[in-house]
Amino acid sequence: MSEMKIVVDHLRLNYNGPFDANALYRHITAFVKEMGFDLETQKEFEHNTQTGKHMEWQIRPWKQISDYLRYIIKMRILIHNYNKMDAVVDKKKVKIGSGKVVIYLDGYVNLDQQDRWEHIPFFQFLRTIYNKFIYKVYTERFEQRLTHDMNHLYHTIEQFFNMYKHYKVVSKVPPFISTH
Amino acid sequence: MLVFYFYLETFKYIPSKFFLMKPFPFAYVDVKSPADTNYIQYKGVWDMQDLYEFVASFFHGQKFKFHEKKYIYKHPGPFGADVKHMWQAERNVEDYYKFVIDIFLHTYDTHDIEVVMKNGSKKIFTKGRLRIQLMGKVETDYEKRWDENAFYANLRNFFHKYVIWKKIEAFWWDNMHYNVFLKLHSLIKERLKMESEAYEHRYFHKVR
Repeated sequence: MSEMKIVVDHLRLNYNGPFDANALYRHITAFVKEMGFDLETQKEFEHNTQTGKHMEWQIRPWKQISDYLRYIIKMRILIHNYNKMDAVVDKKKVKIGSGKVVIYLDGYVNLDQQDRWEHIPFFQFLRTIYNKFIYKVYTERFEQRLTHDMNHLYHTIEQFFNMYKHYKVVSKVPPFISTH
Repeated sequence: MLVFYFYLETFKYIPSKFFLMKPFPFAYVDVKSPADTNYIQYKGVWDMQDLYEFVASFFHGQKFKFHEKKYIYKHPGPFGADVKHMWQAERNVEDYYKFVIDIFLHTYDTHDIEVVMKNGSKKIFTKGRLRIQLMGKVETDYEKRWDENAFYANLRNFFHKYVIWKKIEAFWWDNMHYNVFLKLHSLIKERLKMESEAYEHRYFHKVR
């Protein structure tokens, strides 16, 4: 078992309101690809229930930095009570999804991914010495970069949700202005 | 005698196992390089016939041979029928390697419902739960030509480890993963009209 070091632990984002689930998915995948990560989809669950759609996506983007090290992000997106409804934006009526979203982000640095220093305890000891003392500057720098990437991702998702602050669900706009 | 045997066992000397660094992970030694398993779970209404035909036509279009290995139908319980499909598609790309895609499709708590389409026609759809497991791999030496004896097998492992493992990892596996496996995964999502449908490799330029 290679060394998995947790760098970002359970970064959480909550949102409740109007948004487009497909646009969110495309936004995340596009951003992750742009950052040079490769995407691995682990779960794609979608349940249609009486209260709306319940979705769970678990993706695991990873990026190979060197033969010895790679970044792994574990992203879990949970969407509850997702329904399509009418909304008003710029005095126009549009159809948009609405629901509750919870996103969990975990960031890992995977060292010695091919288990080449895992074989005997002495090698593991050497590996630890190497990571913590000899290679320390690089290890920390890689960790900081991953943290930076993940904060960037978190920020863009926040921006994505803020985009929808101009959308008002029709039922919550009492004097509905008809454009027709 | 037993004590002596134990004494021998205790001081058994294994020369290379403990003192040499592990050469390469098993994936390069093994004849199969596995892909990651993907899962799709869906609850709602879908067109099972269409899904079945779509998957079959997808593989035929990609020059695969498509087999239904198992079809298990359980007697319907109080919530509906329970059906398991095991499909396998394989394509002998070259003499030395082939792509194998395994699909395990499990539908449960299902029953047929009549749906009125936009044009007024009626169709029979399925309502219930669906679970799909997709697995893909590149299988090398599929004719087992290098399995005849231990010498050939070791020669093959050497060939994989030191001669063509870059090719397996970067070309063959990538080709299977991005052009077949992920494509199928995305198209199934599209077929089920899931919210997460997005096929980012649709315009993959395929330039090597």
